[in-house]
Amino acid sequence: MSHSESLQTSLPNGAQAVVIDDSPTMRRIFERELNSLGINVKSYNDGNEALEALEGTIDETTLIFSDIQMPSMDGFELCWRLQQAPWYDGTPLVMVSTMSDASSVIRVLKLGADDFIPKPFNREDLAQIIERVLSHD
Amino acid sequence: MTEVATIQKRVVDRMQVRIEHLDTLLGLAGEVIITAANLQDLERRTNATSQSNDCLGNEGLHLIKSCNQATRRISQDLHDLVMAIRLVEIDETFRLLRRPVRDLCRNLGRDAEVVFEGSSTLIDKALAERLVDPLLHLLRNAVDHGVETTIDRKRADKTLQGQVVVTANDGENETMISVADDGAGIDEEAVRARARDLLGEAAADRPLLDLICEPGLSTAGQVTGTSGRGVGLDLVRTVVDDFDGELTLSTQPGRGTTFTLRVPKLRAVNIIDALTLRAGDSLYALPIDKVTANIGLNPADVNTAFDRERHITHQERIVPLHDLQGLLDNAPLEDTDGLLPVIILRGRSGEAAFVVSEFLGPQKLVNIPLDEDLGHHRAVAGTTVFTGGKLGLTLDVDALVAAALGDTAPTRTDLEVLSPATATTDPADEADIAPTSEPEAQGNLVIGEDTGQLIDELITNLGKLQDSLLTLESDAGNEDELNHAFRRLHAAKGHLSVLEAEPQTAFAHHLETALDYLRAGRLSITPQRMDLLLDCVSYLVESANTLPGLPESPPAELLSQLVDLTASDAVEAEDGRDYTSLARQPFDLSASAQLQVLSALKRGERTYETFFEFEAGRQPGFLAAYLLLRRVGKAGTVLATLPDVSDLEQGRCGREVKILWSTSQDEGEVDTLFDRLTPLYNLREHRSIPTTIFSY
Repeated sequence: MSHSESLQTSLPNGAQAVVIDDSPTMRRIFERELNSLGINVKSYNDGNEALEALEGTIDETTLIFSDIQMPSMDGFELCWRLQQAPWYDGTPLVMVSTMSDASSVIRVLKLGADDFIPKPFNREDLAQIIERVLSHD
Repeated sequence: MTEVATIQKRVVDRMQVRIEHLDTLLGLAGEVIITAANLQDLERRTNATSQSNDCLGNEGLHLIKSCNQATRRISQDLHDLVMAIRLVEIDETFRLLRRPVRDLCRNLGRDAEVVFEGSSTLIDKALAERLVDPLLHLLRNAVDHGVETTIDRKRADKTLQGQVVVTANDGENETMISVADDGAGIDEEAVRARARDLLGEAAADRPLLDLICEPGLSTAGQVTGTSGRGVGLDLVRTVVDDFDGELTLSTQPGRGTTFTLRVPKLRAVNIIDALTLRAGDSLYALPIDKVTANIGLNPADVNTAFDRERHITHQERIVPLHDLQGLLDNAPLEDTDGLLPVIILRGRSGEAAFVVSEFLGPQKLVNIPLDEDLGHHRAVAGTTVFTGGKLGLTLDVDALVAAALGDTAPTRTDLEVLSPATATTDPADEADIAPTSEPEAQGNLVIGEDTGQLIDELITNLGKLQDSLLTLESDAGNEDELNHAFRRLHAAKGHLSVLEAEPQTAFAHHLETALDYLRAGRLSITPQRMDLLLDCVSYLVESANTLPGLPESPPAELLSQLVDLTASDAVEAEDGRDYTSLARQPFDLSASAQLQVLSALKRGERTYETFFEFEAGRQPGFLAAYLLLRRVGKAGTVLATLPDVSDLEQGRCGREVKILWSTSQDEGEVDTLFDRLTPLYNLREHRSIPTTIFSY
C-alpha cells in the first residue's frame, strides 16, 4: 500500500493544513498535492501573517508546513515563535527546504519542528511525512 | 537450518574418490583374478590326481599356500582401502556449520569469533554426516551460554570478542573433536544445587555432564530462540554413542568450557548392538535400541478381540500381539507352559509385541546386508553370524512393526530363499514385490554423466563462494578473497547457463555485478549486504540441488533487493568513515551512562539495544536516525547511541543507528512499535535485543 493510500485511513475528516512559503510556485504545488491527499490548504507567503492567522485557528489546523528560507521571518524564527506562543497546542510542524545539511535540519528540529522534508518532494514523500507526524500519539 | 539441509542432502548420496584409491582397487582386482586362475589350476590338478589316485604333491601344496596367502592379504588390503575411501576431510562438515554459526552470533548479538582448526583431519563419511547437528548444538551452546555479553566480558577484563574454537584431531585409534569457548564456564555448584532440588540428593553426585544433559537442568538462565530447546546435549551423546565414542566435558569458572567428542576409528564392517532371540528353529537379531521391553507374559493376559486380533496391555497402552515366527513364515511357535517370552518393538509406524521362543541376550553382531539380487523379505535387514558360528537373520524393525500393524503385508515369497521351511506361497504376495517405482518426472534436460558432474561442480563452486564471502565478512579488505569469490561466482554462472537454468543465470549475473561493485570499491561490505549476498548464494545452492529439474525462480523480494544493491542511488558517496559494523559494535558507556542504566533497571524497566538500518533514499540517514531517537525517547529513555548523539547532530551517520534504551515495554511491544515505524521511516531492518539485567 502506498503512503497516499494508507494516509486516507489515518487522516481526520476535514483535515486542514497551513502552508507558509514565499514562493508562489511552491504554494501552488503544496495546494495541489495536499488537496489530492484530501487536505484543505490555507497558504501564507510570510511568517508574521501566518502566525497571526494561526492564533485564532490553531484548533482547526491539522498540520503546518513551512519553508526555512524566507524574507522578514525565516523558518528558524517561526519555529521558535510558535513554541513560545501561549496558544500553540503542538500541532505538527513540518519544515521544508532545499537546505538539507545536518546543521540546518537538526537546528530546526531542536527549535521545535516535528519533521523535515527536503525539496523537491513528491506526493508519496509528502504522504509519508504526514503519516509520520500524525502517528505520534 | 535449511542451509544445512540443502547442502547436506547433496553430501549424502555421493562422495569423491581419489584416483590413487581407484588405482589400488584396480590392482587388487588384478590380484583377485590371478588368485582365481590359480584356484582353477588347483581344481584341475586335484581332479587329475583324484582320478589317478596320486596325491597332490609339493607343487599343489605350494599353490594352495599361495592362494591362501593372497586371499588373506587381498581381503585385508580391500578392507583398508574401503576404509580409506570412506574417509573425508572434516572440513566438509565444518563448512556446513560456518553460515549457521555466523547467523547465530548475529541473532544473539554476541560478538564471538568461531575458529575451525584441523579441518584437513580425515573422518569416516558416515560420521562426517552425523556430526553436523551435534556440533551445531555444541556451538549454539558455546555462543549462547558460554560466551558472555560484551559488557560482562569487559567487566571480567577479557577481550571483548569471545572465541570459540572447534578442533579436530587425528589420534592413532580415535578421532577427537572438541568445541571450546573462552566464556564464563559452567557454575558447577549451581547446577548441583538445582539437581538436588529437582532430582533429589543422590542425583547431585552424578557427573556434571550427566546433570547438564538432564532436561530442566540446563545451565541457561532461560530458554532462548536458539538453545535450551530442540536438539539437546542428549542428541550429541546419542550420535557419539552410535559411533561407540565418548563425550567429555571440562569447564573452568571464568575461563570457559570444552566439550570433547572421542570417536574410535571405524572398521569397515557394519556392527550392530543387537538383542538376539530364537523363534521356532530360527535365530534372529534386532537392534537393541528398537526394543521397548521384553517381558514374560501370562497367557491369561492376552486379550482377543474381533475373533482374531490378539493384543496385550503394556504400560496402559494396547499393543497388538503376534507370533514372530508366524508373522515371518506362518510357522506357529511351539506351545509353552508358563510365561510367554514377549518382545515389544517400536518402529516408525508404532508399537507391536511379538511372542518368541527364547531370549538369547544382547550381542554385538556384524550385519551382512542381503544381496539386492536375491530379493528379500521386507522385514529382514540382513544375515549375521552368531557367536558359535550359527547363522541368523537380522530384522528390520520398522518393516516388521509395519507388517504387524497391517500397514504392509510381508512378502513370504522371498523368505523361501532364506528359510526353506516356508509355508505355501500366496500369488497375491508375489505381485507385491514387483517394482512399483514410477519413472520420475524430469526437467528439460536429459541426465547424463556430464550433467551430474556439472551440477556437482556447480555446488562445489557455490560452497566455496559462500566460504569466500564469510571470510570477507570478517576481513573486508581481503582483495584476494574477493577475487576468488568473483571467479567462483563467474564459474557458477557459466555452469548455470550450460544447465539451461535461465532465471538462475540471470540472478547470478546480478550477483556478479554486486561483487564487481564491491571489488571496485563502489560498495562497501556491511553486515546487511553480506546477509543479502549469502541469501543469494543460498538460493542458488537450493536451485542447484533441484537441477536438472526446474528450480523455482528467485523470490521477488530477494531479486529486487539484489538489483537495488547495484542501483545507482544505493551506491553511496563514501565519506571515508567506517560505518560498516555498527550492529556489532559495543556501546562504550561513560560512568554516568552506566549509572543511568542501573537506575533504569532499579525502576524495574527493561533495557534494549535496538539496531536500525534505513533504506537508501533521498532522506538523509541522520534525519531518520534523529527522528527515531525522538520516537524511542517517547517510548522510553535513551541511554546511549551509536554513532553518539553529537556525531548524529553533525550529520555523521550512515544508514545505521543503534540505540541503547530503557522502557517498561516488553519485547513484543517494542517489536510492534518498530514494525509500525518501518514504513514511516523507510526502515530496512530493526532488531531489538534485550540486554541482561546485570550486563551493565
